[in-house]
Amino acid sequence: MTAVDTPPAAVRHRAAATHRLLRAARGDLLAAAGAAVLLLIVLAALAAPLLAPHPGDGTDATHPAQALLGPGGDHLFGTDGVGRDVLSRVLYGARTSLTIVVSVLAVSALIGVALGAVAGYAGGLVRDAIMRVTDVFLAFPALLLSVALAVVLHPGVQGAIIAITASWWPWYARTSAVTAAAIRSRGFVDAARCLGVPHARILLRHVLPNSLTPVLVQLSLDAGGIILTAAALSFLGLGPQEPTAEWGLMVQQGQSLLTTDWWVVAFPGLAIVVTAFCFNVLGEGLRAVLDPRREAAR
Amino acid sequence: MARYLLRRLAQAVLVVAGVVVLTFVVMRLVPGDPAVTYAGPRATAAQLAQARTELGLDRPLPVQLWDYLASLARGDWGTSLRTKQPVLDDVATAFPASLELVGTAVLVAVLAGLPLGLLAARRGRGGADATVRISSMLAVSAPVFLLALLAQNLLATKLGWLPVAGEYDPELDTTSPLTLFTNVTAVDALVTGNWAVLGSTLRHLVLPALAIAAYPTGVVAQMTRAALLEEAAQNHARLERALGFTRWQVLTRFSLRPALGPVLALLALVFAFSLVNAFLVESIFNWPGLGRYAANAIRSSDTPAIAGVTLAVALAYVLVNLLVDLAQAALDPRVRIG
Amino acid sequence: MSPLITIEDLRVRAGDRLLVALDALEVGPGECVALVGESGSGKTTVLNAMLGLTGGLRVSGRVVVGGVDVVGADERALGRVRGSAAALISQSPQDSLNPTMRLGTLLRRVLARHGVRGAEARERTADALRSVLLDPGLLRRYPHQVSGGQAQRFAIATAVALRAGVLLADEPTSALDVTVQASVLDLLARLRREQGVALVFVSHDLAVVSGIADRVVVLRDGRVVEAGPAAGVLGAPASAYTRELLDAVPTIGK
Repeated sequence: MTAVDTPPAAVRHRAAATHRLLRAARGDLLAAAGAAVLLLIVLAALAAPLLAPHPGDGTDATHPAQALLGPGGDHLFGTDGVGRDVLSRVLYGARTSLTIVVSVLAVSALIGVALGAVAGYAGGLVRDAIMRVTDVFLAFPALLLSVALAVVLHPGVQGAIIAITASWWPWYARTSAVTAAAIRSRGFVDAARCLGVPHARILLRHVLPNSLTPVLVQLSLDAGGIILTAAALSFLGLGPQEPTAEWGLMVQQGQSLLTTDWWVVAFPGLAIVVTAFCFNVLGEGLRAVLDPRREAAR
Repeated sequence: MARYLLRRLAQAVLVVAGVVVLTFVVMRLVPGDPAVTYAGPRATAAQLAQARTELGLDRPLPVQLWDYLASLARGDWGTSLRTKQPVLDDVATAFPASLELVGTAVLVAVLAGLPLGLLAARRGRGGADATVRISSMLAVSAPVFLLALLAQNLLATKLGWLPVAGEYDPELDTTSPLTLFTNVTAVDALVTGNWAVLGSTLRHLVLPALAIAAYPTGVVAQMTRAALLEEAAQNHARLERALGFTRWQVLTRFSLRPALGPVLALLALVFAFSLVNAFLVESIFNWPGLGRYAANAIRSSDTPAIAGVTLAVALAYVLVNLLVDLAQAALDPRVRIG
Repeated sequence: MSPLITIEDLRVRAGDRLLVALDALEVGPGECVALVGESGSGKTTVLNAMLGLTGGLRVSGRVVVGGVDVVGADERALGRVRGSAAALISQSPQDSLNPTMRLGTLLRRVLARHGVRGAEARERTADALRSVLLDPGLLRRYPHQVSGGQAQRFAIATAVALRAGVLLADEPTSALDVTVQASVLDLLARLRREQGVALVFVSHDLAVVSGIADRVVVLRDGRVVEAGPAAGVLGAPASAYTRELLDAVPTIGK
């Protein structure tokens, strides 16, 4: 029974992948640096109330008397149009952005992998039905579907998460359907069926975990895209609303001030670029290690 | 080839049907009563009821869907709540300007991204490779609206090198009026020999097009590099080297063509992505395209207009996907069989 | 006559690991030398070294092909060796042809690369196809539209059209089925007879080797286990390793 439950090849594969990961971290300095900076960003987001020089400014305080002070002194990144500390808002903005990224990735991966695994495992009509629905979602440019949905949903963090998730899950469904179909054709699934293991158990124990691997490779690369999509929604006024601190929203609100009071736009803008860049280099580095076919291409 | 074409067309029709249904479903999710938006907040109960009948909201959903399909087919895409014009007319007026902008951006992306990818693939993990890799990654990580704002404020407002906004100098409408032909200003100006408008349009085009082009340039460069390296690892590259071609010759004369397949497939994605990025850039540069129209519609919760834009862009995407697939089949004979 | 290929003290290393140590090897005009051994024995590496296709590996010694020392040669000098002095016939004929290119286009480009154009190119193409018994109509096809045997014949025709003095055949028949194998081997033998082409034949299949080679070099882990006339080495092997290789071939030795 154990022999059927644990395909030893998969375990070996995982160990090998970990080993390659460690070796690659030494080779790919850029990806390693990206991971380090990301870790700092995550810590900063978690500790925002402690780190922010003016924690109140991250939420709903305003000080019109201190509007548009340049960087320096008490306000390292300056203050915005209503006198809020930009540094504090950038820190709190990290919380908003990371909340959106993590939620979208988690929900999309959950829906996508579940549907994809079922489609790939079941095959036949079930597969066709699920994949055709996926095709329709993929027929919309990702940002477009998110924009359309965000318009009709209540704008806010939640609305943004739902809107982005709607255009994100189909990619995972497609990827994991392919993997699940490949796993199904492998011997141990048939062996398990012969031993009377129920479908649900095979799906949960073997197909789902294995379908997750290629999706995990994709997650970090996608995180960069989600940061940009969320920022774009905010810039269109469809994301989180005042007084929530969000980088895209901050850029949008400061756009008319760019020539005179650059810091209002520059720091949140820089935060978006740095975070997306780190996710992207880390994602590319991970993919090179975990996806051997692409690794061969280097 | 004919069979491949037919199969691909049938597939596209199915997807279009799905797109329409999904658009319908999304627009039905609107919180609040569309009849209220339509009739205005101060409408009487009778007016509301009339609006409901006019909008067909009193009938069952499947019937509404059928009506929606039928009216779409008739060319009735609803009426914009903001402009009070038929949505299809609005879309048809705005689309050419977007096409002009996004077309230029994608062209720039290909013209810059392909050579960059080639350069990066040339030496594997060398200096040129690292430079291209990092800069293309940066281009992919920068939000398009930030690039647009920076370009506008720095190069136009501060330095005055290029126009700040608009499609061409509005004064030209009186001094050298443009005869419309395709509605793509640059093309019409070129065809009718209206050099003043052409020059002005091209100068206005530079900044928004470059802002939009950054992302696709990065993507095309990365994809070209990856596809070329993969192609260079194939058996045929070894034989080509063994027959006396240099590494560079193998890349440009032998690997480039099979590598173009994946890059082409990417172009459809990149085109659609850029069309939506134009939503952000057009409103910043006041470019009279679909993006500015969409941004305005979003700001005024103009649901029929948003539905129209969504549908138009999705249809354009399906069409571009179809074209790209056919181009790929022409480029790589294996695709036609598989 | 002077040899077409002369190897002296060839050492190929990957980092600190020695992949190949070959002290001496000569291939004269019209001769067929077979390099045999298991996979990983370094036979293909030797072949690659003859063409200077050892990117990433450290190569020392002398490998003179068509009068050019390939070791340390620049791309320009290598361009005179590859294709014109020595032509590669590779293991998987179809994979080795560019999938997006008609065979005729490929051949035209290869000839042009070696300065053969226009009428002369057409004439050489026609002659080469005739000598490998291929229909000229094949030139209009893509690689996926021809059989493995046709693809391999085409590869040989390319070498003939380039007037290469020596063919470097890297397991040229292992991807083909038995009857096609025999006809490709016949073709190679005939080219040697009629055109005096020399052959370096890399294979793990001693049955095939015994039918075509004049001399045999047995390699194991990059070292020469034994070398000599084919009849001697294969008929009365001195080393246990060669006997093992022979035992793997049931049809030989009786």
